[in-house]
Amino acid sequence: MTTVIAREATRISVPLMFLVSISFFLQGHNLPGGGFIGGVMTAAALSLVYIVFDRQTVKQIYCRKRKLMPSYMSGLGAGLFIAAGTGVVAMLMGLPFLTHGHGKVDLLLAEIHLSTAVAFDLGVYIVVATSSLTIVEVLAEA
Amino acid sequence: MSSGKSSVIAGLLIALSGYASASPVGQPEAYTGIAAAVLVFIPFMLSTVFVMFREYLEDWMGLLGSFISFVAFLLSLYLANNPGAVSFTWIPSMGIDLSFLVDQLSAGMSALITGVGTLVFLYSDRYMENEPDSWRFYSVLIAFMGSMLGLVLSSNLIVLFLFWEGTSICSYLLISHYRDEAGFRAARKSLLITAGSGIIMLAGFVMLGEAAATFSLVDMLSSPGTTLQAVQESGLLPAVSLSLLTGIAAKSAQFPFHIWLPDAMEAPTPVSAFLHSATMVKAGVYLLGRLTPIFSGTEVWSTLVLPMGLLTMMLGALLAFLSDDIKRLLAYSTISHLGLIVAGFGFGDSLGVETATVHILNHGIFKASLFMIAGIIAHEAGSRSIRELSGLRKSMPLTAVVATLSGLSMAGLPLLGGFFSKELLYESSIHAFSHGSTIFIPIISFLASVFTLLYSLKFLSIFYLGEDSGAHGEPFKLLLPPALLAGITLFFGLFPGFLSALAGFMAQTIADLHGIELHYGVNKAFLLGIATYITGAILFRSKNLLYRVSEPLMSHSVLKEDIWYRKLLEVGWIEERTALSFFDRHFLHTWVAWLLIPVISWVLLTQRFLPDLAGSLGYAGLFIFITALGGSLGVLRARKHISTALTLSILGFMTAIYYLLANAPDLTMTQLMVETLTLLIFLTVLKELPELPSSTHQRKRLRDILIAFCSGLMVFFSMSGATRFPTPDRLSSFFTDHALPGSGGENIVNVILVDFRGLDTLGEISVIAMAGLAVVMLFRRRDRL
Repeated sequence: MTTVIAREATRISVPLMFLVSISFFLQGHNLPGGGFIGGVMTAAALSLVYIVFDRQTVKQIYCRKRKLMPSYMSGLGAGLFIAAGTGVVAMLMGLPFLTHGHGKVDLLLAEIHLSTAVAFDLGVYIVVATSSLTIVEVLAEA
Repeated sequence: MSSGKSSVIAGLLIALSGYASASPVGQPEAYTGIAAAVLVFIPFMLSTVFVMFREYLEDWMGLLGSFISFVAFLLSLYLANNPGAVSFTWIPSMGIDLSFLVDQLSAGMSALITGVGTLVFLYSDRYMENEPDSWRFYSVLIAFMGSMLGLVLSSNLIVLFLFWEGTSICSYLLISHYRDEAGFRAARKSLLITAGSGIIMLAGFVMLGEAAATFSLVDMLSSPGTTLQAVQESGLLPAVSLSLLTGIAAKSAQFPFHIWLPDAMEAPTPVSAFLHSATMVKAGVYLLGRLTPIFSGTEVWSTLVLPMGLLTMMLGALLAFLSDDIKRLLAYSTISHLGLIVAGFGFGDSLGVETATVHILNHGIFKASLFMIAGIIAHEAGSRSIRELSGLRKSMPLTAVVATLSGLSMAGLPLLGGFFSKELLYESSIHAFSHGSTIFIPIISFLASVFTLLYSLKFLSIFYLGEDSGAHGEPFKLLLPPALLAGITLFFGLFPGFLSALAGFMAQTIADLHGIELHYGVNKAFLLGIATYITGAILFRSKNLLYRVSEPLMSHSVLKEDIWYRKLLEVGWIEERTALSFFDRHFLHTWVAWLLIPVISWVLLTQRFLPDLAGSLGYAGLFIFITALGGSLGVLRARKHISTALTLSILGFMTAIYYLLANAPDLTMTQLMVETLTLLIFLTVLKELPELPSSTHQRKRLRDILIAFCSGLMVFFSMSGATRFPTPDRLSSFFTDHALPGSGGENIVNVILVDFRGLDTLGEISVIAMAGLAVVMLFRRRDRL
């Protein structure tokens, strides 16, 4: 499966896919996209690496940056923690669990509209991406 | 050491508060709520700290845990003097609040838990020294203490259930601490029995809460009669009683659920002393006592509780006598003593309640001490078998003294606390007999007490009979905690007024015990006690004969063997080997086919409407439809897994394009992504799978085609049935109207996902995370099978 074409194509397309997945996630509130789609896209991008390069290569890349990237499985906990955490923050403010707020935030150059739901969506993104990647990694290992 | 001393002083304090209880219970003190909340949550916080800083704290965890337990002990004493009910809002819409019921019973139980906890941590400090992964042990043990405190202090039944299952999970983790096969097996057994029946109990709680219109124990207990009447009127009384008793019996190891407790002895000894004798197994009897004011006297309750308790008491004592392993002997003895407590509550009068409460205190103290001694013996003499141990009083003289005090207290000898448990049991039995109950009650009590004396003597024989089998020594730090407990049991025996005041103080919310004072004196119960000692002594002389008579009886009996548990596992496919051997006989897709047939027939047979086929696909739609059809025909022709997966994905991509035509870009993208990812995962897995057998059987092939066709038909009909009724306009207009002002988002789909239906999404991502973990577990396990 690992022809030169496939490898070169992966090399170019995977970073692009990453960018697209992040933009999907960020634009989700107003345009098509969101945490779920972004997460699946990230997972798809990385699993392409698993398929095109052998597992050893991924491990080499991975181990070099181990400090930056803990195992996928810890992402499951982190994502759930962030998602549920946004709900708890609402509770601490006396609102029902998972109540979200939104408003304009004045940055120096521009005024942008932000919602706390984005933080929740980040949790969704992380869980979806890491869960899929956990599965892919385990399967690739087998 | 200082904390141990202080716990004796604090024991005096709680007794003083017992004497002071003559003063009426005043308004809830201002700090009661905070104190209760702190008491429950400090252990959990400490558990987190233990896990986070395990590298730095590992050597200090025992002492730290002991110290915190002692602080918690002092807090419990404060609560005992400042009872009240407090509530923090949690999920008001479902009637679930973090509410605490602080009264003498719950505060007294907390004092018992934290007091024994203080000593157990102190003991563990030396016992778990140099053990690998002791941080895991300590963090779970302290979390267990938190769960247990939460359990006794909770007022809301649902919250109580959460803590209840929390203790089961901690117990599971602690039993399997050494991570060997026997440990895992025992842990699984205890979890299946206690947590499984806990769920039955939850059903009981829900029914009780619905009938009484509140989940709050405070409200229920403020007028027990009204609560009972409400339950009776709803017609749920038998169901509620049965499900509650199931949970109680399983947790407190009552027959026939007792089988998990002896196996739980795989746990490190401090765990056996703490969870499986003094505290966790008391959760059931605590709840039994708690609910006594409501249910006592109802039909199910009075026909079940007393016989169950008496039977368990007798059976446990007999099995303890037949055990060879000292920890198993103590475990069976615990079962027997829990039976005594249950029987006490089962008598239903104030004498019975006194019996139960006195014995909760007595048993917690002498049994924790005995378990700790069993740990010392296993540690220092290198064996737990009574056959191999003998004459240990020479090599461990101090241990022998402590063991003798606690052991004789267990046997119910005078001058020790346990005497009064037996005395009260006899009094209750005689009282019940003279008020029209059967003669069997005093007889069973007598026999159980004889066997209790017998196994206590058997346990002590390892110190006094035969040649010294040798031991390394007796570490002071291991001996101190059991010695303190033995001191308390001696103290109880010497000053029985103290014990009865303490029990009366604790039980005052269940029954009024002012009439019952404990003292030494000659009465019927005392004479029966003398008879017990004489019979026991005679039988002990001829114990070999007794073994020979009773051993074959027990080894063939349903009572000893956990037959029903193993059968249940086999039926429920829980035992992996049975399940695998069954499922391995056929291909997975055969199983799927057989699972599909009932669903298909149900949908097709109940289908009432003909699908509405009006409307047009348009040219683009037609193109998509034809391509998809071609793809599915390709699936039929495909011979290899990979070509099947590839042709199948044509269908998925066509669906995605159809979504695009229907103006649903979010769905399109999700479908595309999921389809791609699934295909990739398929590709990684498929090369591992064996090829399907070429379908030479024409008939089998026909059957598969028929099933496939029918399931397609089923989906078609159910979809057309579902879309037959248009969604109410109100719903879609609500979302279009509220998305932007309510959440500031223009993409309604996403706003629904993350905001309006955020809780659903949270549930879904939990499932996704769970699925990831499950795949990891399945693949890791594959190597072991």
